[in-house]
Amino acid sequence: MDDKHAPLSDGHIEALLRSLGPDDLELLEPAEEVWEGIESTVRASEGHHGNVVALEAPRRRLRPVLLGVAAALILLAVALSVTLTRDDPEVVLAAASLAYDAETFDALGAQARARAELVADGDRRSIQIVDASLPSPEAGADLEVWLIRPDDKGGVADLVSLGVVEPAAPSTLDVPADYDPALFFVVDISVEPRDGDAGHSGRSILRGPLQGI
Amino acid sequence: MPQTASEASPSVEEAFSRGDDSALSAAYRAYGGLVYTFCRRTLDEARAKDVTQEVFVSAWKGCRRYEPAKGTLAGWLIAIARNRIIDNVRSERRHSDRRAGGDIAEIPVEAQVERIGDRLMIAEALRCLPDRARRVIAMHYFDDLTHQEIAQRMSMPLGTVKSDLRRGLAQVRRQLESAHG
Repeated sequence: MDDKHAPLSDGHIEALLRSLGPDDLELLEPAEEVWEGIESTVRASEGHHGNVVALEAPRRRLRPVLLGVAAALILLAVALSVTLTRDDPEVVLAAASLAYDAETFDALGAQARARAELVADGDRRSIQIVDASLPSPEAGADLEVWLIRPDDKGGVADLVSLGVVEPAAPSTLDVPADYDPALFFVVDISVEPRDGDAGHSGRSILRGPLQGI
Repeated sequence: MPQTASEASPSVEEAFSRGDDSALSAAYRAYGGLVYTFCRRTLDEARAKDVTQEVFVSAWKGCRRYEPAKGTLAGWLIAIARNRIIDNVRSERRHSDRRAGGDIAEIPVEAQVERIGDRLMIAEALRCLPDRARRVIAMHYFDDLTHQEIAQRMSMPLGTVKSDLRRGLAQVRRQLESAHG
């Protein structure tokens, strides 16, 4: 919870109140599979975050049906696949200590610190920002995480944005499937104004290479 | 599954911040609909489901960073959802640009996403209000009735109408500020 937003005026709140429509008042109910996904993911990482207790709502039950041998085998294969996937723990493949460079980085990062971990969860690769103490950017700006592919001279050959990191909230950012972290192995955090420019602002605050990949 | 904010008592918020065993399912019962609605208003169905899952998993993993004294759990979850939604929209736009092979100007989506989140948080705040205060707010802001007209229709003292409105706005502000951080 940062202070990057200006205080809300009564006029702004009252204008929002008057603008409410029926869509705003009607909540959609997520499909049961959404909770099942949450439950299975959390169960897979039980141990350091406590246990998850099932919803009290009645669970959908499979109706007993007669299955042919082929159908039964398919179901068995699916069940095994799901079981194996759920048992796959997250594996930290590499980690980076992110550092501030006083000569070239934005001054906002002077007191910042963070580590980045490249985590594998099945086929999924993600960057987790951990042990972080990140500054709040100015109003109208975000902190954004990038993976950089350096060139032979240490410059930036290519880069990809992983998304916005909230200074005071947990951050897990997926690595797009078509980007190989072995090539894009430098993690960068920058200040990005919400100015409509999707490119890097040049205002890095922390950066470091993934070690062990 | 009921999705009323009144279910999310302060004890749920405290339990969530401690990582108590039942707190995740309690928080999902209270706010699963709110987070999913936010996602669905900005993303397609498949991604809305994925992002809703990610929000609750991410929040649970970082539950000890949630401080009930600083804001509502609904606001904290909406703030996480907002960032995830913006990430998704940006990612999709990048891939669209890549597919198009050109330098297509970016359409800012952050403000639009934030506005949708704000409206949902206001609706959430209204659901949390006692019936009488909610009716007073609705008469004033939706039906454009004056304080005096509301007092007459509800056979209430004018001062009670004003205090209901003041408390209602304070509740709305708290929800909104929780989501803004």
